Amino acid sequence: MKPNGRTSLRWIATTVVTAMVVLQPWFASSYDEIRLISGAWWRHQVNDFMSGWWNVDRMVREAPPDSDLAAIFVNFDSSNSKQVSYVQEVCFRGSYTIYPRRLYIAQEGTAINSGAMIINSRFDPTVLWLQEHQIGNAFYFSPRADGKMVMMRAIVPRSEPNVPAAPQSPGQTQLLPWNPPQQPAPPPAGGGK
Amino acid sequence: MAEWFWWTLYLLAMLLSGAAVGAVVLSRRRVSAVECAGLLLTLGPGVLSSLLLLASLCGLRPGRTISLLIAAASIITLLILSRRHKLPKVTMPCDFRRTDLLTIPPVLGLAVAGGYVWTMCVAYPLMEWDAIVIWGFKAKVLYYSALTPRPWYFTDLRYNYSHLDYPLLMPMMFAAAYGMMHQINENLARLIMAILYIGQMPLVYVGARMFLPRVQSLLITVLVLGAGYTVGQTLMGTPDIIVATYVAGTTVYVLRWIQLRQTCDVVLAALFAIFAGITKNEGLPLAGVTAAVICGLALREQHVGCWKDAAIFCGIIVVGLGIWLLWRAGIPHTDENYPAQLRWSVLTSNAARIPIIFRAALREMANLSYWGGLWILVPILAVIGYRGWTDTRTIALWILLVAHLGIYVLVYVITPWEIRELIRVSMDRLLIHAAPVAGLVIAAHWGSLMTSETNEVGSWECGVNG
Repeated sequence: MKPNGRTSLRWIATTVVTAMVVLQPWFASSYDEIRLISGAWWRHQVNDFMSGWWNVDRMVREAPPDSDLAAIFVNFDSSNSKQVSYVQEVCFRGSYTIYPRRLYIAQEGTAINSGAMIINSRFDPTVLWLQEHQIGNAFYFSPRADGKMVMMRAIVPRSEPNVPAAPQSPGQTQLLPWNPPQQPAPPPAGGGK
Repeated sequence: MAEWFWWTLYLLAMLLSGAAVGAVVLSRRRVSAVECAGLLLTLGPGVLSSLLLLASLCGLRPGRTISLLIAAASIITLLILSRRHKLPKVTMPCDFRRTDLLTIPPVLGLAVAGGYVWTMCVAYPLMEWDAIVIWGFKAKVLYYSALTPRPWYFTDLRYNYSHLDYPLLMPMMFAAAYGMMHQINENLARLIMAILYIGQMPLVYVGARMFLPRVQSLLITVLVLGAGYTVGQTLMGTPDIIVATYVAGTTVYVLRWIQLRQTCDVVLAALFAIFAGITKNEGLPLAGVTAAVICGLALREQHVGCWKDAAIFCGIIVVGLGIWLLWRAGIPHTDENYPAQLRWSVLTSNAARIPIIFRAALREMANLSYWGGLWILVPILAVIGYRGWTDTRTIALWILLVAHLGIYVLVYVITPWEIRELIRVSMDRLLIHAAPVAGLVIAAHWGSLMTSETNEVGSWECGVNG
């Protein structure tokens, strides 16, 4: 190639690359996640940003720390995406928060990949089962007509005959509003991450 | 404040581990200060976490004692090498020109990006779904239990949503931080991501310097590390930036091996390939692709030294990745299990997915807010800098890039998941892994347009690639 042609191509390449680099901050600042994270930090709203997860953390940490927990979902519909999301947040975040303790969400051997599978497993343990697995507290969730969720925390008695799995302490009713975290909706589990 | 003290000790242990391994591999070689910094920041976390994984396999949880013992062993190694005058010679750039003033803006830009990532990593705990449920969860498992005996988590299918068989390097990086601080401090542990993000900068720069002068090499580095999606995903806490960093390291040292045929370069490339393979599953086939490139070049050369280097590379990755694959064999694989899906019948029945995959990939690559001009510049420079096609290193880069992306296309073809949904949640992350290679492809073609007057690359006599 003639030197002039090569020089021209070099200047074209330099101009194009330099222009892209100069515009890089503008491109990067228009990326939604950066705006969201930076904005929350700038406004000192990091705690608000995390509030969805921390609601779940507070819920599971309110139970005494010396035993495992169980989460039972009553009358949930696996085709309702909001309910599936709620189940995932409670179960997956809750399991992470209390580890090395366990949050039981299904019977042994049940492969769980999503909130829908938790709902469809129809986990409904007896008190004897809860006692055998050394579960001290069981959380019962059910949806209300207005979309909010009701949660009751039941203390599992130390030794009781085999009775139906109903909350033992009706006085411990707590309304837990459904408060989605301020980040993009979680992808379906098993999405090749 | 105590957690900051222990975290600083953890950082020192990482840097010392990286320094010891780097010094052993690069014994008596001339190494630029920039490359030295890159190796410290990237080798260190990988070496320390790999050693802690081995210790965990032997029944030892990550903690202060073992991390500090590794640091002490690293110091002893460095002292022995120093006494025997076998340390690498770190060189500083010595031939400054007036045009080097133009390096100030990109250096400032990289410093701002690094500072931003560092600040945001400390400000936030783990906040992204996968970062918590998959990687953060494993970090807690490794913090509380050694891998031997195998913790119940890895065989309980009720935790299958967290991908029981995913690799453990990043979780161990976090677990080691927790072990040093004696607490689950996600904010400080997330600084590992910032360290590896910053560590990728010198690696990409060193790779680009094989083709370009300083200023242009810095522009390539800004192009790769300043992409919005790369910065954003580093903050999310998923290990994609870690894989990208180790892919960058593998690629850079493969390129240098092609150029100089030094055994130390294949050793470093193999180490980085192992780290990529035990960070995410995507790193496993990439190690195979890299081995194929090195073996292919060695066969073409028909030189005993090249065959020896290829055998060393393959031997190191077989041992390193083999240990992980052996341990992983005992874990249930119930959701994806892609090797079992790799059948001709699956390929032919899902062939209609290929146009969908390519359209989605092109749409993704053209997204300026995600990638800036990085992926758009690859074909442009490939045409403008057509002289680059005569360079073996450029061909090797293209083989690595095409094979890298081709593996992902294959995975999308055989995946059992709904393809559009999977592309929506994963394709952008996969492109982060290949971004450093794309940047080096641009550098290779751009460099081919440089004349001997404009190009002062590879100044091996003074400040090697500095």
